Amino acid sequence: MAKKKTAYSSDVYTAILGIAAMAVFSTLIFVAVVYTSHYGSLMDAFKVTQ
Amino acid sequence: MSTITKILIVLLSLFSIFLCGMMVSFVGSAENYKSLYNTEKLNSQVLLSEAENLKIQFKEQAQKTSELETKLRQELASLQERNNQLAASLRNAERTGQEFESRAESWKGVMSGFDASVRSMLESLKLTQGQLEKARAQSVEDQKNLNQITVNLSEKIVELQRLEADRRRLLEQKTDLEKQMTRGGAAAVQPVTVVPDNAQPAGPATAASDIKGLIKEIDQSLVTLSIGSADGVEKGMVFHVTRGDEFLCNIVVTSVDIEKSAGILEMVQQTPKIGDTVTTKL
Repeated sequence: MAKKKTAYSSDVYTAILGIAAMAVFSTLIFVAVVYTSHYGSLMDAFKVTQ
Repeated sequence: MSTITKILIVLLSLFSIFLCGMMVSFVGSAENYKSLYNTEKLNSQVLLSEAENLKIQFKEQAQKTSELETKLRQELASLQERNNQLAASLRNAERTGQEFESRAESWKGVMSGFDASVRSMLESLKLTQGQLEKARAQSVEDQKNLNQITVNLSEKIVELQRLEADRRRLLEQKTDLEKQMTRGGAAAVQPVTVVPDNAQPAGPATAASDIKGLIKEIDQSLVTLSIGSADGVEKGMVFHVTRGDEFLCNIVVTSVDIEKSAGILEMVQQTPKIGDTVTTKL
């Protein structure tokens, strides 16, 4: 069976999805770093201190 | 890949990138509430400690204030007591002042009466001085008359002594004649006995004997002499006051004691002094 030949445009859209995923991932990392620096850990921000 | 899939891929990528941007901007601009909480908590603890310190200071100040209030109340009580004492002293002083004012009024009345009596006494003194001047003038006049009478009396005494001498001389001549007649034989003729006349010429004792003395005291016109009745001084005698050869005045004796006498000045030429000589003959 002959290998189905893919179009170059599909690779472009895959790259676009990768870029979007990398943006989301980097955003999550940034938020985690910022909250960690502020509250020690992410869950400490939700602790109730008396 | 269908066209719709392509469109969804592009929209999903754009939307996710947009949301990621918003998330990053929000998180980047969010504040650190934990550090703010810690800061505010620390400030709250500091303020609580300051409040505790202020409470302690407030209690200390309240205690000091209560002590000061007690002390001031005691001082106020003592000052009120002193005020009462001063008020009592003031009342006493006012009462004393009123007493002294009444005394001053009484003394004022006494002094006014005394002033009136002094004025009347001065008037009587003036009258008395006038009378004394008149008496002195009369005394001077009387002294002049007395001196004239004394001079006349001295002349009479001298005349009497001369007559007495003539009588004695005539009696001696008579005795000689009788003796001659007796020797001449006329025995029958009785001798004439001559009774000697021992009568003394009447004259003042001051003319017969000289009495000398000194002035002991002088009080205005009254003079005290150092001689008295023991020396022959009699009331009414006139002494002449001399200082050396200078005649000063006369003294008429008005009071005589045994060893002293007193008299008043007359015919004053100069004022005599204590120690001046008095004599009955110049």
